Amino acid sequence: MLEFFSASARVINTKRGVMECLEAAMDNNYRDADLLIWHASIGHDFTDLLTQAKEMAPNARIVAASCCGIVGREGVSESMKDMALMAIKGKDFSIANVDGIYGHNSYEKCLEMAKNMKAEKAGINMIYFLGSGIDIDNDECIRGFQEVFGESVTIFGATSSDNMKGFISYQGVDDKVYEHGAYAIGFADPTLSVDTQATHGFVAVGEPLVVTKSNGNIIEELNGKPAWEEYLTRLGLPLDANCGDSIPIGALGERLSDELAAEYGNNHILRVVTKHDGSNMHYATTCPVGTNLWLTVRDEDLIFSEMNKMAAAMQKRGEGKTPVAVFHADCLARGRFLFNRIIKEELVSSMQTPFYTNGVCPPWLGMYGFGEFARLGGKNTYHNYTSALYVIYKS
Amino acid sequence: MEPINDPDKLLQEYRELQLRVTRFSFVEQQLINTRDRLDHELELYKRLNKFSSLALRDNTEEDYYRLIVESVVDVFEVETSIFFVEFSKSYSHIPIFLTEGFELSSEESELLKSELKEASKILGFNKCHILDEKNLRGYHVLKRFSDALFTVYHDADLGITVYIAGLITIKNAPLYQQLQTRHETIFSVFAQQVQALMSNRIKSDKIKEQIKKISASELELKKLSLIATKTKNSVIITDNQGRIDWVNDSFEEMSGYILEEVKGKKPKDFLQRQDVDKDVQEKLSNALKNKENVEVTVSNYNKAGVRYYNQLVITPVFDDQGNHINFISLQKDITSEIKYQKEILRVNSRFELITSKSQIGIWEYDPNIGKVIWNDVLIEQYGTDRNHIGDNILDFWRTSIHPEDKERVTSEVNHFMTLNEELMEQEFKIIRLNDHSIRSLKCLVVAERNSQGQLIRLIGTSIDVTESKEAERKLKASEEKYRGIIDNMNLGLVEVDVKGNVMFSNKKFHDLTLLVDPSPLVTTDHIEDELKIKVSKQVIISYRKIEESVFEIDYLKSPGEIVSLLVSNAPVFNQNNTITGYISIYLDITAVKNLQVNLERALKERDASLDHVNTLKMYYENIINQTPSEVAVIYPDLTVGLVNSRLIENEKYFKNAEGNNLNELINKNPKEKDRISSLINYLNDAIKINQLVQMEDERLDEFNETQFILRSILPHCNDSGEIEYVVISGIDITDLKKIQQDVLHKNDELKKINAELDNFVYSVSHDLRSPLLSIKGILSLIINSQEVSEKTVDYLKMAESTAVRLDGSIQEILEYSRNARMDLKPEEVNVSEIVNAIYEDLKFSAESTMQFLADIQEPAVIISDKARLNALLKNIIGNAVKYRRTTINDSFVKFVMKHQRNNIVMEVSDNGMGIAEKSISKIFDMFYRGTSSSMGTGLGLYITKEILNKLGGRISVESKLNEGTKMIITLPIIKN
Repeated sequence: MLEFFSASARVINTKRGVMECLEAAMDNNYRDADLLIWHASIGHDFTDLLTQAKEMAPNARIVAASCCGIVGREGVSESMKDMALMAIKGKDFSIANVDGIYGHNSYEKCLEMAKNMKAEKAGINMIYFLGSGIDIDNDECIRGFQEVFGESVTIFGATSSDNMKGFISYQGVDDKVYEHGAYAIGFADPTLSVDTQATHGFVAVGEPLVVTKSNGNIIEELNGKPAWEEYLTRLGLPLDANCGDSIPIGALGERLSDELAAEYGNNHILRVVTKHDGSNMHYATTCPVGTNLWLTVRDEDLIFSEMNKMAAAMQKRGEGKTPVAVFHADCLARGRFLFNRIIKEELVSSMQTPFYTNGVCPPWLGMYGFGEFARLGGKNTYHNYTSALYVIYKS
Repeated sequence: MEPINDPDKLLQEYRELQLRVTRFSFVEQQLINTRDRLDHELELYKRLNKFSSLALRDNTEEDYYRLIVESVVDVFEVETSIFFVEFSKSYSHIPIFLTEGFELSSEESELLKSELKEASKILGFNKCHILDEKNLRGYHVLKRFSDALFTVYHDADLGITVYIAGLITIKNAPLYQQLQTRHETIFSVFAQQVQALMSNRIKSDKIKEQIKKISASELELKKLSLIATKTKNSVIITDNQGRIDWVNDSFEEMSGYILEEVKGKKPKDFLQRQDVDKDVQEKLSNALKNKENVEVTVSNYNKAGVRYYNQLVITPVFDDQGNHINFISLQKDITSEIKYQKEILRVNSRFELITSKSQIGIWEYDPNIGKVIWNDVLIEQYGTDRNHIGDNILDFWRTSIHPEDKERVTSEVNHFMTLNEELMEQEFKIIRLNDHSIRSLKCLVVAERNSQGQLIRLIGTSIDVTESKEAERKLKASEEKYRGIIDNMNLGLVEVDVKGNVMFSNKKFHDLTLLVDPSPLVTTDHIEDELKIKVSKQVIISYRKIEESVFEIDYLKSPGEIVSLLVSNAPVFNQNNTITGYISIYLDITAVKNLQVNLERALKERDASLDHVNTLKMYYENIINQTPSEVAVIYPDLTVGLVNSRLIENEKYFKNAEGNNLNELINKNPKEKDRISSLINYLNDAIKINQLVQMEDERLDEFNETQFILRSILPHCNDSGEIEYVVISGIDITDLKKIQQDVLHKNDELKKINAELDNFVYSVSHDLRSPLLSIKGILSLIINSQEVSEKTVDYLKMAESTAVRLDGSIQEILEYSRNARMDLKPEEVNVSEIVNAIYEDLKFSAESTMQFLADIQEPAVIISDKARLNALLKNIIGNAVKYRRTTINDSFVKFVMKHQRNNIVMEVSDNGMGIAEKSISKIFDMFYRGTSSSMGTGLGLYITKEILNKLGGRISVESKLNEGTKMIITLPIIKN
């Protein structure tokens, strides 16, 4: 049986931030924690974070990931010094991690993690996955996990990021910090279930860019021209622009089937480009030749209406049950570079309030990262530019 | 605007439009970025403001400096920061050096400090700078940074130099915003705030320190003055030449001189006489001459000429510049102490003499001065010498006490000292110093107290009892050992003297007999007689003489508990071979006796059981042989266990089969091979599934006619669930088979007749309807003709009404026939449409005031047999209309449909005539009509019931006469 506790804080000194979060989440009982899941802005020292957490909760397994900002039950914060924690009591979980995960080996690395988790703990019924958000093929990641656990086990989580520069992202497990790592937590509490959904609210415009040459998740040519240059030209950006410039306005949309579009509330699923290597663009999933990629623009009204629809649908599926915890992944491009602070806080409020019990927010751990996982059409799916909620219920 | 017809131009415009949309998105993003930058700048100012508020709080020094160094990172969003403060020599404060976001070795820290100083020389004081990689390249530590905010300011008045820097490493530069002019502006404000806050803080610290010093001096002075005046000791303050300046009250009291008499004099001039100790005098003179502290005891004389002993401490006093200004002399009258000391020495020497002769250690303890005196015997007991222990006797004593006793002994002594008691005995172990042996000491402590009960001194004696303790311990151990053996032996033991007085009895004896006093059971040499007497009393129930000195007795240990004891009696001889007593040994043989009795009983029971089993066996064999069934018992390995006589009679191959395997019977009876094999197969099946299996067997009887046998094969299991045996029982079902075949044959015939009847009914009804419709038509024509009289019209209308009713009957018969003949045809049916159509049809039959209501829960479309559902609802709704009450003008019929879990429920309710309670159970019978005047044929509800049977549904009725009726139809949901 797992119990969840959360806290978040904006503290300059990393070690003190860890202390504040642990004390706020668990009072003086933090030594009893069995698992600590940390999200921290890129300005924090991840070695200090892990060291301090281990000192305060010596029996706990610790995982951490970098992000562009955090969302806790205390609200939203996007600075270089944010930190959020979900502390868990109970033994019904297993953790696996890998180093050196890239687009070309995403399947093998996730398969390895899946096998390790299964060997360590029986009865895993949901997987929280957090990998490096730069140069990774998330479709392949899903395939790796599903190879071992099947399609019915829900994969939820995010990809870690920096402050939208696409320069570096960190992942921490126990006492080690990685730059191209990933971790996965297999929850094996039979009394828990998870409900997931994602929404974006962007609209496709104009003619699509057609992938004319690609290799896995790397797009080499669009419309028969060098991909990165063609992409920037269509965006109206100068050719020396970087990913930090393109991410806020460069969401690429892939057409969904009518059935999936109806469920998603949108005709397109969005993808982000987190890295370019000369003319080659590192796409977030496998992108075969012939794929049509639409440029998109955001529609503020649609963003809000779709968010409300999603929250209502999830509430309905929850059938009045009380959530024991909520994990949340938001695209960093939906943060302060897309909205002003007020609108962003309104959006977060509209996603949190429906899950309150007697006016109290459940334990909540959210991050602004590069990408999000949530089920679509009954299948595990990777998303970009979305707000994705993972609501944990106890049966 | 004119339309563009050129496709190329259209395409080009479309592309431009497309580009414009995305570019608009870019421009919009630029605007958002600008807004974000402004928001962000505002946020930085807010953080700066927060820093000021936090800094103004009453922080500790450490918290305050930590706040500054963290705020640099927070406000300017840099990766790391440095805060370094140097203090001038006049301000004795160690330098402050703090960093946030990176750690340095002590060498690197020193190097960085010097680099900051060096940079300040180049860049100057009190200015803020943004430095880039080029500016920082020349430094050893700073070269790892790509961007820096830097300022240094110097405050000569405060004597401080403050260095502040915010830095971004080359490695992480891509993550951070490049430092810009706006950063420089905010940094200047920040530096000014820090400068002002530092200045305030340092000034405040200095003031606080001065106030603290002044307060401390004043307090000290007050304390000294109070001590000097009020102390019981004499105080003399002289000038630097030793001439008296001031004396306190105690001096005046002790010496008899007042200040005015002695002021300006040297103390030695009026306090000392000729008997001064030369050595003491010299020590005193030298100390005063050298202006050093000195402590001596001198003999002085007071104003009355009485001698007293003065213990004095003289201390020279110097001013801030080190000049000698005074002597302060502290004096204490110790005349009484000296006197007591001499007395004690005298008494001690006497004690020493006595105790050294008696090997008794003697000690004395004066709690007022903490002094302890030991005699030589005590010194010897502790294995030490006086040189070793010196003045620390008390510590030595505590150290010597054995660790096991230390806490107890010291606690006892401390407790004794606080009580108003005079005597205490103690025993404890010590570890001797010289040979480390453990010795036991027995001590007697005497307390001497004054009239108020306060302790004056403790005097104690100490005797070494090690050897006697050891002898005592061994004796006790030996006694305990043998007592343990005797008590724990399994025999009761009693020793008596020749008069029969009990000398000893062990624990086991008491356990066996529960006697506190063993005398009732023990005997003298006349044990036999004694026992006889006991028998007549209460305890010994019987005895049996085995031989002269060994007896077996049954003893009533407690009410209801008899124990059997074996008693062995033996005399005890002294050295003169005379009997001095007897030892009796008691052994509990109850268990052996019980075992013997149980064994005998068990043997008898076994014999009885065997007889019973044999009788039962015969009984059951008899029953089995008499039963008309053919019975055999077969074991799971197919060995035949039992065959009854009926089976042997009918199946010859079972004769003498008991003990044989069924497979062997095949070899012996090859003609019956197929039948026996078939039986074996069924038998194996029954064993495999562990359930009853039945088989039909055929054989020819003595008249060569076929006989049918039904054999039931039933496995029987033991308590563990394993099959123990299988019972095969067979009965002759030849007659039954014949009857069964007859029934099947008749059933087929019946079906055929039914089908023919249905066809007949259908054909006849169908054929009857055509002429009937013609009649109806003709009647209608005649009625509408104007050539017929009014009366004739009445007759014709009656004929038409009869024809209509007949047509209704025929239609219903056809409906019944159709329902019976046709297969079920499930399809999508819109109930709403059906009900509306029925309502439309019926509206013409009812008054205009009748309401047709419907409440149909979605989905209205269900899966059912449309024709049958239509007929069903038409009948029921039709009845509601037909049997409405014409006397009321608010009649209604209401149809309701609801979806329940696995059913669809339809209700048809009305406020019509209702049905009499006695009729409700009959309305679904064929041709039943409530009254002879009923308008119906008596077939409608019968057909309804038949249709519901086909649809797998059911119907129930709630009705009250003259109030209305509710028909409730429940249909199972059919999945598409």
